[in-house]
Amino acid sequence: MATEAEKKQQIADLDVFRPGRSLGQEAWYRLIRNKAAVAGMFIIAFFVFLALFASLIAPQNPLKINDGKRFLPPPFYTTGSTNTKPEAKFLLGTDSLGRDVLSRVIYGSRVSMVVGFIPTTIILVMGTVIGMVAGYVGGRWDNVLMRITDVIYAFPDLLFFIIVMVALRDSFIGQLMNGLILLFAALAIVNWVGVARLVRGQVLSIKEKEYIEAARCIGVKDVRIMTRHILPNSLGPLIVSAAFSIPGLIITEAILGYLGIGLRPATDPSAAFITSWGAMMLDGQSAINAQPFLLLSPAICVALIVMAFTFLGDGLRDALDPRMRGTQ
Amino acid sequence: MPGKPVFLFIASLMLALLLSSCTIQTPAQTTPAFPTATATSAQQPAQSANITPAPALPRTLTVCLGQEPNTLYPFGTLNTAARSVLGAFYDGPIDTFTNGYQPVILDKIPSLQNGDAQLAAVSVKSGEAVFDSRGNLAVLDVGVTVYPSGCTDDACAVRYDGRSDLKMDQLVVTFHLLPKLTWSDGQPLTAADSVFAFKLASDAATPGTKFMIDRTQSYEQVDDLTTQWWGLPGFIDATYADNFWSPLPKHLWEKVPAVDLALGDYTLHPPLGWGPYIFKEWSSGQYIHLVKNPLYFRAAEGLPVFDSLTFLFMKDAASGISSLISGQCDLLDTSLRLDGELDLLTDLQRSDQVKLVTSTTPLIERLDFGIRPASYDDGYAPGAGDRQDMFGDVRTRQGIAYCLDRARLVSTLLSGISQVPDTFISPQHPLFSKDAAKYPFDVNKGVALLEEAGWVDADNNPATPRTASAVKDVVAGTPLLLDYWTTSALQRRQVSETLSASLRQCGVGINLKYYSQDEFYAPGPDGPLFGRNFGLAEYAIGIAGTEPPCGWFATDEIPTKDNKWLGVNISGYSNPDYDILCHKAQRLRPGSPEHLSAYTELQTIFANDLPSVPLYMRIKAAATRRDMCNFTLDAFTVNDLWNLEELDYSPTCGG
Repeated sequence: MATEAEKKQQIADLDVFRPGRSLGQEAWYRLIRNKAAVAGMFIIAFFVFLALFASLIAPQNPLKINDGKRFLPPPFYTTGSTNTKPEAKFLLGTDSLGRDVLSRVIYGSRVSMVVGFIPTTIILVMGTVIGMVAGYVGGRWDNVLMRITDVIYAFPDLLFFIIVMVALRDSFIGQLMNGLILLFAALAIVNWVGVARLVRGQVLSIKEKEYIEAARCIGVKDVRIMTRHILPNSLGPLIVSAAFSIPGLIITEAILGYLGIGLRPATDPSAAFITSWGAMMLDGQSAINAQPFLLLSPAICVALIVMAFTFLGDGLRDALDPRMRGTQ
Repeated sequence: MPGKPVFLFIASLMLALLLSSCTIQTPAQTTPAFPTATATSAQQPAQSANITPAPALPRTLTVCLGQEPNTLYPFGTLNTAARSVLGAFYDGPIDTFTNGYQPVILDKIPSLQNGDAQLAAVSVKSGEAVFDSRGNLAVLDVGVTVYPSGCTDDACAVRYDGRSDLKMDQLVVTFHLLPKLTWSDGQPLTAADSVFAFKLASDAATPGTKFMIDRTQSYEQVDDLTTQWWGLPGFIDATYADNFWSPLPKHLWEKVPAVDLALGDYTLHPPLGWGPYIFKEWSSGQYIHLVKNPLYFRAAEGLPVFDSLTFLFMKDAASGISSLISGQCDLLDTSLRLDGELDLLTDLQRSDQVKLVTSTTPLIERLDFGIRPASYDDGYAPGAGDRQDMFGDVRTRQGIAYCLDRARLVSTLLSGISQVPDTFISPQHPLFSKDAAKYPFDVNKGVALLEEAGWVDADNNPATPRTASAVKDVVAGTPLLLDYWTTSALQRRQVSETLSASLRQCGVGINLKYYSQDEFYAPGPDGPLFGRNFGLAEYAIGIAGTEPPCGWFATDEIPTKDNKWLGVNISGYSNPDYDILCHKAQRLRPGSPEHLSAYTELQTIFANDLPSVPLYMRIKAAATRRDMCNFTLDAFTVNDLWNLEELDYSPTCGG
C-alpha cells in the first residue's frame, strides 16, 4: 500500500508527465482562466462587432438632423435639463443638431477600432524589422538604428501628432479617408520605437542561445534564423506590447479628436467613418448641462475599450511569460 | 526651558499661516466683504436706531463678466469686459443705437440739418493732404484725381494740373458739451479735455486705430464747452456725428508721456471719469469694485441707483448662470457669450428664474464663394494646379444659395432669435432694401439653377455630388464637391454640418475643413481667408458705426500681393458698376434720397451677383435676475451696459 506521501508524489509525477500542449495552447489555457482578460476579450469583441456592423445596428442615420429635437434626454429621464421630453427612438438622446447620440456612438466605434488595430500592425512590422536588424546584425547598423530610435523616442508624442496633423491636413495624404490615413501614419511614425527596442533586446538575448548557434553551424541563413527561430521566440512580449499599445492609440485619437484635429467629420451618410468618440466628446463638453450623455457616452466607451485592452494585455503578459510556464 | 516659548510662538505662527491659507477666496465670498466708505458711513446712524429711523442699507449691483478686462486705459485694445467696465467711468459721450446717435454729455447730436455740421468749399493747394476720387488719402499733386466741390461722381471728377484754383468740400462739425460737467475728482470737464484726448490718440505711442485721425485735418477747442472737427478736403464722413473724442483728464495726464499711459498701469494712472461710478479696487482674477460718484452730472435724478458696483469675473457661461441663479450675480454681461446657452436660459426664463435679454448685432455670419482665388491672379490655368472655376457662373452661386437652409439655422441653433438677412445690410438698418433678390431654401429652384449651369446628376443618385457637364471653365466630369472652410468654434461646426446636410439634398458635396482662429484669419498669402484660397468660407464681419459697408465687395478691397493682402473682399468678386456706385454712395450725404437710392441699387447688384450668402445676424445675449429693470440690448451699442446708472431691481420689474 502506498503511503499518503507516495500518492501525492505519484500525482505530482502525473502532472509533470501529462500529455504535452503546444506553447499557444498553454498560453490560451492560462488566458481563459484569467477572468479580467476574458471580460476584456468580450468587451473588445463587442466593440469590434459594433464597428463592423454599425450600419446595420445603428437605429438611426447618424447624420440625420431632426428639427425641433435638440438635446432630447434618454428615455430613462422624464425631462431634459432644458425641459425637453425624451423619445423612445433616441435611446441615448440627441445632440445639439437633433442627431441620435447612440447611432453616432456606434459609428464612432469604427474609428477607435481601426485606430487601435491598423497603426498597431504598422508599428509591429516597423518595430520588429528595425529591432531585429539592429539586434541581429549589430555593429554599425545597430548603432545607427538605435540612435534614430533614440531621437524619435525623445520627441514629445502628442506635440508631434499635433504638428503632423496640422501641417499635413491639407496635403494629399491629409485628405484621404477624412484624414484617417494621416492619423495612422502619425501614430505609427512615433510608436514603433518602443517595439524596436523591445525586439532588439529579445534578439540580443535569443541570438546567444545554443539552438541559434547550432543553426548557424549547420549553415542556416541569417534571414531564416531571424524568421524561423528568433521571431517566434520573441512573439510573447510583442503580443503583450501590442495589447498595451492599442489603448494608448485609442486615447491619442480621442485626444486629437477632442482638440479638433483628428478625423474630419463626414457629411456623406454612406461614408465608413462618420464621427469619432473624440469628436463627440468635443461636442459634448459644451453641452454638459443640456445633454450630459453627449459627453458621457463616448467617454464611457473610450474608458471601456481602454480598460478591456489593458485587462487583455495583463492576461496575455501572465499567459505568455515563460516564467509562468508549468504553473496553473 | 528657554526654547519652549519660541517653539510655541513658531508653532502658533505656522498654525495661523496654515489656517489662513485654507481660506480660499472666491468672488462669491469676497463680494459682500467690501468695506466701502459708503457702507461705513451708512452703518453709523444705524447704531443710534432708537433716535432716528435706520436708513436704507447700501445697495450693490453685481455684474458678472465672462473675462477680466485686459486694461482700463481707454485707448488700449479693449476686450468686451473692458468696454463694460469703462462704461461705468465714462458715460457716453455719445451712445450709438440702431436708430441713430444719442447725446450723453453733449447738448445735441450735430447734423447738417441743425447747422452743427457744415460742408464748406475750401481752396486746396499742391502738397495738401486730401481725399482722392478713389477714396484714398493723397497728397495733392499734379495728376491726382479729386472731386471738386459739389461733385459726387466720376463724371465731374478733375485731374489736378498743379496751377488751377481748386475748391473741394470739407466737412466741419461742431460739438457742444453740456455745462457744469465735472470729473469725479471735482475738476471741471471742458472741451480742452476732449482736444487732449485727440492729441493723445494721435500720439504714435498710443495704441489703437489711427483711421479717423488720418482723415482729420484738425480738432480744436473753440471755447470751454465747444470743439470743432475739420475733416480732410474730400472726406465726406457718413458717421461725422461720432467724431467727438471722449474726454480724458488733462489736468492729471497732460504731463504723463503717452508711452507710460499706454502701459495701462491702473495703479499709477487709475481711470478717472465723469460717469456714475468711481474706481475703488481691482483684485486680479476676481473682481473690480466701484463706488458711486457723488459728482455725477445726473446725481440730481437719483442716479446711479446703486451705491456700489462690482464686476465679478466668471470662468465660463455655465458658472455665470449658476451664479445668477444663486444670487451671486445680478446681471450676466454679453462678454459671457451666452449665445451657446440659449436653450437653457429660455427654459430658466420660462420657469421665472432669470430674465433673458437678446439682440442681434451688426455682425453678419456669412458664407463667401471663392469666386476668384489668388491663384487666378496670374491667369486661370487649371492644368497648372489652379482650382477649377466652380463659382464663375452666377447660376451656380444662386443655385447653392437656394440649397442653403438658413432658416433652419436660426430656428434650431439660435432658438429663433436671429434673422436671415438678404443682403449685406442688416434688416433693421434704414438703408436695407426689401426689393433685393431673395434666396429662401428651395431645393427645386436650387437644382434647376445648378442644372442650368451644367451641373448634372449623371448617376441619378441625389446622394452623390453632381458632376460638371457643360459648366464654363470646368472640366467635364468634375464633381460638385466643395471645400467648406471655417473655424472650429462650436457654433460654426454646427452651422457647417447643418448646411452640408441641406446642400446634399441638391447634390452638392461638402468637405468640412475646420481651423483655429489664428490659422483661419491669418494674413495672406498664407491664411486661407485673406490669402483667397478657399472654396466656401464661413465667417463673420461687422461694422463699427452705422454706415453700411459696400466696400466689402469692391474691387479695390480684394486682398492681393500688390496691396500686401490687405482688403476684405476675399471672394475676389469684381463688378465695375458696383465699384462706381459704392464710391458714389460713400460720398453722398447720409439721409438724402440719393444716398438711399445708391444703397438700394448696390444691394440689388449684390443680391443678383451673390459673391456671398448672408447666413444670419449674429446675436448677443445677456441674462439678469428676474426683477431687473431698465436693462436692454441694442444691436449697435458698443457698450452693452450703456445705461448702467439706471439699472435697478425691484419686485415691480419681475414681470
